[in-house]
Amino acid sequence: MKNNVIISIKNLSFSYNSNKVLDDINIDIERGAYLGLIGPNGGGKSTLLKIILGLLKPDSGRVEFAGGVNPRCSDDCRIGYVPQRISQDYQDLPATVFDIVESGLVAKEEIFKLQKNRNEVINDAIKLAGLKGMENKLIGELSGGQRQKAFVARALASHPQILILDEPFVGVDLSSQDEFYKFLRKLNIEKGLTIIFVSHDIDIISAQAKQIIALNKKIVYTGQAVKVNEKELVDNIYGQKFTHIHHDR
Amino acid sequence: MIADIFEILQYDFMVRAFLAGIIVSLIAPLMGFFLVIRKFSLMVDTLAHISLVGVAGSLLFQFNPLFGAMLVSVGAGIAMDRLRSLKNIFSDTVMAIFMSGGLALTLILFSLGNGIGVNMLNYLFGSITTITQSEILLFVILGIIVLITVFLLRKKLFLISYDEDLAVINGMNTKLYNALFMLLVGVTISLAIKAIGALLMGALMIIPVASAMQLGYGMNKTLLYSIIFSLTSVIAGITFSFYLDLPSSAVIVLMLLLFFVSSVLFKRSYA
Repeated sequence: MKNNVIISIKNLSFSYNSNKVLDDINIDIERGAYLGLIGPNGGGKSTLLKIILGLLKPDSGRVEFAGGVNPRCSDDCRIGYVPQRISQDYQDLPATVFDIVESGLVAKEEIFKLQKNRNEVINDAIKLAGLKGMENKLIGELSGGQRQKAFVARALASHPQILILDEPFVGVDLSSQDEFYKFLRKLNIEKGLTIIFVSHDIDIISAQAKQIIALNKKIVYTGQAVKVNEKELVDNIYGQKFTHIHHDR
Repeated sequence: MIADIFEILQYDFMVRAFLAGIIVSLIAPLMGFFLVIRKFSLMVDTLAHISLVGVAGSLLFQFNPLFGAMLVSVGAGIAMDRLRSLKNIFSDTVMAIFMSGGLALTLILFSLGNGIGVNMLNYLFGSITTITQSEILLFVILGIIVLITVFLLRKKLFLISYDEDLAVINGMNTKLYNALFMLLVGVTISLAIKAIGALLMGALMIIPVASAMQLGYGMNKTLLYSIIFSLTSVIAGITFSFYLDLPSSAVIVLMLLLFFVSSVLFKRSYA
């Protein structure tokens, strides 16, 4: 594994029953990358994320992380995760911003030995996400963009080196999306965080990501984001001819 | 009402009823909270119905029905949770299968045992005033164990309940915690079945939580208000039922509903 690579995916394949959704995937993700993962529904994006996160086991191949094969035991490669459908799924959750961010710490804590400076760590993560003063607000009272930030703060509380976001903008209005992307980019540049986000929206990905991986069961494209809007490439990603109508970003 | 309670406490069976009621009202909403977060509220009714298999079996083979109910509800709870986690069968389908299977088995055991019908009614609708001295000891010991365990693990249980994937990603042994959680739910149901009855179990575990959630607080305060609503309903319910000569479980449920309606109205007034 090269020095600057933080995740290396080698010969990875996965099937649901007999339906192959990932076919011989090989990717090296560099430390500090700001990477968009795009592809059609059923193209294997979420499956690939779940395998990286250790939620699914591949049929063949492997995922290697800097510092070891298991991301859970390596400080050098700790993963923060922001799930999809936050806006819909957590609307009625009886939890404050503080509760949510705190829950990013509890899995690794021993029952009788809490982290000494845990309140400071939680408040720092809340501040970093720009939610200072909202600690006691219910998660359901926040706007879509603020809610996303609260879940990023939850991930940041455990000081990850990699941040993975699954369809982060479903149900979030456009102005909040822009502000949120600026926030992510700032984390990427200032904190050196490797950021991987999944979206089915080709315009968002091409405008925001620095690098792109386009996935439709196989790797269709890897490289600079700016080229992903080219018509021939879009047809390749989605597997058929498309009339591509752009929206402003 | 305080003076009335002191008058009632002259009777030993009422002292036991209050003690059992207080313990159950402390632990039932605690477990209910995590089930609500998991969107698994109906599991309470399913497990309560299944635990009747243990009650009927115990009455038939003449051992303490609390143990029978506990054995069956813990086993069924763990089995249902495992099936749910396989994710190739819907949760409500799992519950429907277990509930109908449980009731069918209960009916068979019921028909095999002559004269267990009257006792069965105590477990269907609750009979908090018939709790015995030996049973109250079990209530106290198991109640304290459940309380302490949930207090210590509440934040981990909260995480698993609302985002099990993150718990797995962060290295938690979710299978172990889920099994422990179902064990605690099973114990709670087996204790509450004598107090409130299998048919009204959902009320005691879910309504206080639903009421507290209307108030718009975070995890700790929602848990606290759930317990306050549950405790007040049980104490008031037992007291009113004594003076009005009504079934205590039914009065407790009506008190819980009163809290729910009030909290919904409160939310509408201040929203």
